[in-house]
Amino acid sequence: MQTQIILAGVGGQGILFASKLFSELGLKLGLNVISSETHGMSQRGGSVIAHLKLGDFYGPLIMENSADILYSFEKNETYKTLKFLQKSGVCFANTVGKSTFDKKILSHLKEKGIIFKTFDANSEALKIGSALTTNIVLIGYSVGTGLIPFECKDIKETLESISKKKFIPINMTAFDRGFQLGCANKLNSKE
Amino acid sequence: MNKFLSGNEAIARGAYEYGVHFAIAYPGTPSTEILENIAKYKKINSEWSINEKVAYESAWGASLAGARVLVAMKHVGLNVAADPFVTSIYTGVNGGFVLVVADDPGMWSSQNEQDDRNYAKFAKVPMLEPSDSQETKNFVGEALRISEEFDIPVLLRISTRISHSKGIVEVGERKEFSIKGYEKNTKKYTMLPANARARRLDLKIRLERLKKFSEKFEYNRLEWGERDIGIITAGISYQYAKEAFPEASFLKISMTYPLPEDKIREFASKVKKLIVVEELDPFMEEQIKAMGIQVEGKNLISEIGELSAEKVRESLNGITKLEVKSEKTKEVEIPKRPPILCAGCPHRAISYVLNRLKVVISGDIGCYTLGALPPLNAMDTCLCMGASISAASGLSKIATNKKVVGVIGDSTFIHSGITGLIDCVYNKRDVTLCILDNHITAMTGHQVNPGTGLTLKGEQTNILDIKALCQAIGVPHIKVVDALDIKKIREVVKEELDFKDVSVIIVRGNCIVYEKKYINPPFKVIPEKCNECGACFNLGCPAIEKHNGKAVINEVLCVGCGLCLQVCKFNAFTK
Repeated sequence: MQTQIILAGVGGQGILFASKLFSELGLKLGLNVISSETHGMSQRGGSVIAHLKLGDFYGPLIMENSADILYSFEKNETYKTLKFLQKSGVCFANTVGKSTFDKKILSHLKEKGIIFKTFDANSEALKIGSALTTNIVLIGYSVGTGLIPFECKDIKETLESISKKKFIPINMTAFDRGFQLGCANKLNSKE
Repeated sequence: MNKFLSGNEAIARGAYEYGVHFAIAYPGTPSTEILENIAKYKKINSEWSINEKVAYESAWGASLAGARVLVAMKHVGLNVAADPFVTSIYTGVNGGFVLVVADDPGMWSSQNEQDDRNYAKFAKVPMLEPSDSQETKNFVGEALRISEEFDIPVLLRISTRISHSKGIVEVGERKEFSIKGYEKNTKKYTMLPANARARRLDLKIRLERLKKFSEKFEYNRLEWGERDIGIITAGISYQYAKEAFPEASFLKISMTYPLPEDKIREFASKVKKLIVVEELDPFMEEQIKAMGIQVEGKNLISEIGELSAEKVRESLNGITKLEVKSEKTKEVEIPKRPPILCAGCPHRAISYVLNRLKVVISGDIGCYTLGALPPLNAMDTCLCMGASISAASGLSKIATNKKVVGVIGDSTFIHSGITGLIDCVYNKRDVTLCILDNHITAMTGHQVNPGTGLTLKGEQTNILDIKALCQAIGVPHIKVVDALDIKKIREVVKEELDFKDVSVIIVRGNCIVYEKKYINPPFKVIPEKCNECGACFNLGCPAIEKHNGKAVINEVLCVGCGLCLQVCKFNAFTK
């Protein structure tokens, strides 16, 4: 199994935690894992992009047109990283409220066969009481849609194992909330 | 047992496993986390030094005393340490000596992208280049072994992508090595000309032996594939080339100085076309050409910036059988996201004041360099660590019609600003020097320094008093101001600009990211009072946003430093 994942956002959005979640998941599944994070000055408002390669690969960076999954937590970072997705790849873009994406881009993605899912993970995270869980809500959502090649059980176990003890309950709640909404989206898409 | 480690963590692990007794560094991206991780191992004595030269000399001394030592720095750090480095190759070592240097291709966080592999040839020092975290760990051990066997320091050269990428590493237990103890050997360690001449000849012998070693070094590896193309590569470039052309034949070189000449000849004779894939300079290519072997490299692959599998593939397109169709995704114009000074940063007020005074600002390296960007525009120059003071000195000597101000942080001042200041005092320069003192090395991620009063291991230590230091070296005017008091800063700077000799203004304030206890509740804007004059936007504070012309506080970012209150003439800001 070979899966390439890009995680994109700005400092403070939990990109590095999400990156750890997938790398630990890969290790748990017995896969080779390589990751690379670019975060030169993230603390000062810069962008953070993590590249994750699960399975047998050489270099740590993902080539353009080759990622299977893109998680993006911020609109401009989404635009910046879409180029990494391969044909039939899938993007999960966090939106703050009802942010809209450039129509030309959306039609281009459609032509390429890329599945583009927008989801207001931010609001859902605030509803359960912590904006800091936006990353986990979005990942839960992606698992719920059934569009990513990982088992819910494996991801949940990994999430629990890497969370600090006092954050386990809220992180699991965040994941479940996202997961339910992802499942609902899956059903709607089928109809 | 396996661990998932970054290259920097792998070096720390290697230092632990291969019995390093003493490790030392000055922080610098991308090498900083090496020492931060080594500090977690109780069995290794580890320290932050005040600069790379001092770190290197300290490591050399410890090696002479018989310890296994590791010294780490970023690429430009080796420029600072170049003096002891080059001569230490003559003297050789006692305990194993590994110098880790991290290059920064693409300048993610540096002022240049010099290729430090050139130092290996220049100083005549053996060099190893790992390609992933596992090799990075192993090579710490190999470097120490080579160092002891050949009586020479060994350069372990990595790059940003090796430092900050993670991979699976098999880890083991620590092997203990005894500290050999110091033995006097004047002819070996005292580089008077007569002794140095003898050591120069000895170095030639050591290098010849190392060349033979390189031929047999197991990590210089042939990987046969299709013989149409043979790729010679090393370090992270190996991964890029392998990913781009997995079917080609490879000579993966891990000891890139001295090169295994016979192995290269053998490989060259068995492939149709020979290509060197290397990041930055044609370091191996030029040496291979000098062997009289026909090879391509920089005529195809750029010597500028970071490489990637894509770049390798595109550069060699047409050379190989593999046709590459590049399929570009549509791009949208997106706003750039330059780094800016944090809300509440103690460097903002001084930058704001200096920008308004129309002076020449000779800058330096640290967070305050971000003050060079609009709207603060508080920097005319930035060259290297410590240059603010010395360049201000030269500027003021010749540009006598200008007021010249130097700006430097506490850590950079201690690193290499003190000598420049003594020079200014000695030569009676008309300069004003602002030392922005937050008693922490903030830019690289908050490392402690002599002004903090703590060591790398978190122990209490002596505290450097910058004001007393300035007094002791004879600075005629010294003032201390609060970094968040704009009025006072303006007043003091104006006074000192009129003073015709050296003045130092110590601007004291805490790094708000490091010391969260200084965070206050966010301010608010009273919309009716905001006159849309835009004065507060000149602070360049990320917590002040513009909504329909009016200022609005972003309450998530605001830390209540109060600068906005001080610049607003309409009292629109309130607690």
